[in-house]
Amino acid sequence: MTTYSPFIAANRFGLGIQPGEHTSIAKDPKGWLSAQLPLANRLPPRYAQLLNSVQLIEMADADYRQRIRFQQDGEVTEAEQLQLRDAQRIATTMLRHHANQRTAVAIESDTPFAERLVRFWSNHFSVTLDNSRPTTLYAGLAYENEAIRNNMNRRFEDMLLSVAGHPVMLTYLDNTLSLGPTSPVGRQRKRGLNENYAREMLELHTVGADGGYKQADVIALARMLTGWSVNLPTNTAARPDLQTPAGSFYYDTRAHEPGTQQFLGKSYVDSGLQQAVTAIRDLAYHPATANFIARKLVRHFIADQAPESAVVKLAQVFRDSRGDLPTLHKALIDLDEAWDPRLQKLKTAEDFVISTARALPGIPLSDSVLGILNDTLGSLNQTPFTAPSPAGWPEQAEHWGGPDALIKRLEFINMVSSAVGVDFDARDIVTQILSANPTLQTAIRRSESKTQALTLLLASPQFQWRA
Amino acid sequence: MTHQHNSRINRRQFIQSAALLAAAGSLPGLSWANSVISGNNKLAVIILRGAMDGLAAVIPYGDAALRTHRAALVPADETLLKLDNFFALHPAFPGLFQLQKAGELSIVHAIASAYRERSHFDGQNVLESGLEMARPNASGWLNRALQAQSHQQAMALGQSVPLILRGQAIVGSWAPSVLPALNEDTLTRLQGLYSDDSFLGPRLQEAIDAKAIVSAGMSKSRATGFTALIDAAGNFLKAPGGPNIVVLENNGWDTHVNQGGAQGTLPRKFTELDNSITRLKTALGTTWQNTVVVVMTEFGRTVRVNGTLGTDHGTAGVAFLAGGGLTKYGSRPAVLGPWPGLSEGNLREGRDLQPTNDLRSLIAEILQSHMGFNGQLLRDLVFPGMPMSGFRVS
Repeated sequence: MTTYSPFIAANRFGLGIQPGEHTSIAKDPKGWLSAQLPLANRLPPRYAQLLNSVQLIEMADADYRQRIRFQQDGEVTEAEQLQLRDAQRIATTMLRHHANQRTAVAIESDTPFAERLVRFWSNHFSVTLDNSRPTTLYAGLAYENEAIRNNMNRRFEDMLLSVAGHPVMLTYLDNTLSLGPTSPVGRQRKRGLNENYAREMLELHTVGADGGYKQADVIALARMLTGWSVNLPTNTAARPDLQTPAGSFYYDTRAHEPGTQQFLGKSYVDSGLQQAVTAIRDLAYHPATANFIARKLVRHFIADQAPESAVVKLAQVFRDSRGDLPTLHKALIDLDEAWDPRLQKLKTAEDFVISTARALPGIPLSDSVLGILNDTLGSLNQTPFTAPSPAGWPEQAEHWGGPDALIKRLEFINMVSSAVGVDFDARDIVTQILSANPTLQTAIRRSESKTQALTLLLASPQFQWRA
Repeated sequence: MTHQHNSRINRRQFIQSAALLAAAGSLPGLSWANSVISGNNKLAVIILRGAMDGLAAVIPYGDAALRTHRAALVPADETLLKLDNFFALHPAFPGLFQLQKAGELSIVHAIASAYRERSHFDGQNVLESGLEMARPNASGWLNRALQAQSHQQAMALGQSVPLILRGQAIVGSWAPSVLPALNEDTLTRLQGLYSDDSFLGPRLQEAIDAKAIVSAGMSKSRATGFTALIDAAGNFLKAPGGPNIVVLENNGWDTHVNQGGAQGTLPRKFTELDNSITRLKTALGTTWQNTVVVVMTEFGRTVRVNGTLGTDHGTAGVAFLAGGGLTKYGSRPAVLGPWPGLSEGNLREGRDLQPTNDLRSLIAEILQSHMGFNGQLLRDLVFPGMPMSGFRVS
């Protein structure tokens, strides 16, 4: 007999329970979660005014080219210096604003399960943005909204294709540099394939490392993906497609490797852009993809060591529903394992910071407060869109709960409590955000101050776990 | 909690008493046997994540096929730091070159873990687990070694504990903090709460211990990034009662695009590595004489330059050993390991350097002859699938 705990519903599947919520969630914890699913593709109002990725890529590209232009003629004049500093300031302010909005959306969310799912998929199709790829540096949040959030109520196939056609992913995994070796552009520049995206699409996004593909399949997929690029100017030429805006997806037929490709035991005739589209569709429905995605969801939401029973059930739902994401998400909370209190996940740094803020309602989400929270994410090594590899943020408790990470969590809570501890009563909050725990309640009651009590609550081991 | 604290002090006293002198067993086929094991010996492991191009780091300039495969990636002959009439260090390694002349560097070429596919994530998993294949919940080989000989203590330097140190043995971790400190009393109360948590409790204790050790030596240092970790490694390893093993991670070796020949992305990484090891030698002072640094990576890179002037995922590559602790092994060739050759027929799958040594054999050698780990333990628990043939010098 499964017991549906409101704390598990809100802490394991959501972004952390808020004081006062648990009585209403307790009436129907599963219903509370599933009611959020239809809203998963809703754009939070805080994002409504942000620029889209095409605009942001065009802007970043222009900034980058200006910097190169100024630096190329040997000397940067004082006027140029000022212009560069201006551009830098505008970009920094904008990126800080994006980061603040993203943190605020999570703290305020009234559909926290849906928001967690968006972040799960965004991490599944992880992009790391840094100066090595200057044109996409500003577009992380736009990518998350356009390629991920926008597809939350569609099929896995749709999300996979949106990601594959998104300039941020094409740039991040070097597909924009990959040329068909015997294509006109490839011959002319004497350059060829870059396998990076093809390999990661197989290994990390669909069938997984043990999905049965060979090096030849990686190469075939890389060949089919040649030509998938971004419409941007080069140092010597205008952007290739003047009819569409700079920064949008561009299919370069002259860079596409001609010919039929053998991929995972099937022939794909050269139909240009459509060749890779067909292959990507087939990948979305490959049996190994269902298993890989099911395991990843279970590992993310239920336990580092995914219970096989749950993986098998979820993979079956993936196949039966042909990768319908809302059906899959609903199936996740229908699993008995999902409600097993013995299974535990340690909060990631982001979960921890967000759930801390959600546990302390009434703190104004001003730019300076959000800035501190984002700095904390930086110190805890989880600034959004900076995952250490294309595999995204790790799942295991060992990654997030190392001794040094723990002491930093404690120090962050110490800082929060020093600032707002006097405004909250931890004796009251503890019963509303964590399941009953006499030892912790006693320790809080015996604290020497309200500040110390709040530190003990939020720095407690119970609050580091997501259950 | 009190009990744990006492047992830790005992472990440290145990190290100081050098009681591990007796621990050495014997592996078959050993090339460097009979070294003197000191209880003060230190080990630093540097993991290069992303797969270092071994052929660019230690260049087999005497192999006639080298330039046919990758002319664009080979610096001019006169700039090479020649080790013998076949191998040369890349010009970005002047520090390592000096160490080699002093007998404080060993290079192993054409070496690989057991992993034979081309995924970074699985490759690092195998590198650090020491197993035959990637397993998501594997423990690390260094942790398994520590479980059996708990008088040795290890510390991860960096934001998290890497797989190599994960497992049942408790290890420390340290990274520079930018946040304010907690007061003593609150910390004590929290320790009480954490003592009931079998996962988080011991980790909090390690964190508290680590901070006490490092604060003395580190307060004046302004170094950041990897340099800060190198300085911390120096401080930890020479601190009385501190860990005798440290692990550091360095990212950014996945050079698919424009990796550079004489200069560029990869040569800059070489310079960083070269400076780091030189800096560690300085930071360690006399402790350098008892130290061996192992520098390893998940796999090598393709022999041929790719379509974007970089290299793709390959198989065999290079491992470095550095440290004053190497002088005890006496005179030896500059580059160890049989050379498989770069001509077409010798390449693995027509694209990779063929491995002629297993990394586990090399590491087992160091763990046993330098750190005093028991040979039987290494074969049974630490590297259960390790080839019996042992490390091949030539």
